Amino acid sequence: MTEDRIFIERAQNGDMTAFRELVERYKHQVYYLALDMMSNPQDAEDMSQEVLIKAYRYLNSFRGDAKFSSWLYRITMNTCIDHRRKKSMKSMIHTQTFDEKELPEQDSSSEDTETHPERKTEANLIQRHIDQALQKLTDKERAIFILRHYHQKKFHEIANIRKITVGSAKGTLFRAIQKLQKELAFYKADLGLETVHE
Amino acid sequence: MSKCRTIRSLFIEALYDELSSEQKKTFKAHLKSCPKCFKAYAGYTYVLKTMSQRKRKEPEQNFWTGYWDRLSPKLKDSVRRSSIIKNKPRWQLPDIFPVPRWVYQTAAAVALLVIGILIGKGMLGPSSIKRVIPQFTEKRESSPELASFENQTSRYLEKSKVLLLGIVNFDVETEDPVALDFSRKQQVSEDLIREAGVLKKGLTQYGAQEQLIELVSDLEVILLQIANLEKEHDLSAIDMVRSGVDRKGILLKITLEEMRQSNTRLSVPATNQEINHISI
Repeated sequence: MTEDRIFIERAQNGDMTAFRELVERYKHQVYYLALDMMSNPQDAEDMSQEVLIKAYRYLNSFRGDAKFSSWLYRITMNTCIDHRRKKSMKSMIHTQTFDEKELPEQDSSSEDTETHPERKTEANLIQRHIDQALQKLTDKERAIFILRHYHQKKFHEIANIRKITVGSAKGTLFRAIQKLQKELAFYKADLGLETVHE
Repeated sequence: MSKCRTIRSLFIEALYDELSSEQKKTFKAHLKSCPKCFKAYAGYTYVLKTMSQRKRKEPEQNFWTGYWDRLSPKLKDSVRRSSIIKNKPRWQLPDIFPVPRWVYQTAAAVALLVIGILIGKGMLGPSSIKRVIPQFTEKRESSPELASFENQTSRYLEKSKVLLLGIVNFDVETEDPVALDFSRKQQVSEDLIREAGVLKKGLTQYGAQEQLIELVSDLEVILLQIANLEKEHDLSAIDMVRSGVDRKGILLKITLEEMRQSNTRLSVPATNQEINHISI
């Protein structure tokens, strides 16, 4: 962090080498967060580059109150959410096409889908189910779930990144998990859905 | 049941191992004694376990080695563009004589006012009269027969104008109705009505302007009113004729037609001054 501070100060004074050092340090986390949000490697690279360009342009507004990584996370989240909003219509159409063509059996009440996991255990199919379930979350829910689940951010850090309260972060995450449970309902027995009806 | 609610409110912290040691003890104890909460919690645990199976598509190694090389030109371009915006020279006068801001504002206001006046003049000024009633001022090609009829019409209009001016300018309060010599005017009117019939026929036959034929017809109506007055010195009848002339704009139309005729003869278009005079 101390080293970060030195590089940040140098970069704030226009030292491009110092900024390059910061990029080398944080490019992975920015890229993977963008990849988790965008679910597309090309979009993820574009977003990560956009984030780092924004970071350079607005570096002088970084006062060091929070961690530099949290600041970058916030820019990444906001950039990805903005980008997703802009192409929301296209993405909706894309998701629909994906649903219809590649995941034909999504009816959880069907006897066939209950036995689906046993019959189709290929890793790629599970990946598709997981990705599809993530796409069903709202941008805010997805953002918080990704930060907590895939980037191991604590609730107070998430609150800081998203500029919300800790309680709101917890509530949103719980709603996200409940939605995911419904989306992955064809694993009904394993997810404990058969017994949880109150 | 309220215990279950309390425990379920801790689910989210429990799922991510953020309970305090005290909370952990209570939580575990409750799950052991409550199968419903245990099942529910197990369900959420399984969701997270399933979601943890997600594998990212890792980029190739050269993706990371060439990352800066791909970012760098974009970064430089962004910096260049932002510096262009920052350093873009603002348009300003040389700072030899510092001019207060209000001077520019006043100058801008005056310029706007002048533009407004010019536009207003353009839309409502005398030239617009030309546009509104071009039929009375424009020059036309005409046949010899038509020209002859137009000349006759011109004389007819002149005589009618003199007649009407006598009536229109008559002041009923200060002048003696006898002095108006109404019987004479009635006689002239009858003559003009007869002439109007011939003119209308000729003008129509040789393709004169519709406005001219219309003017002759309007004038004919007024002349008929004058010719048919029963009481020579009836002031209300004079008022009636006067309002008819005003309503139809007969005198203005005659004047315009005279101007057109004059233009045709001299091949010189009417000046704005003349039109200004008419419009006033």
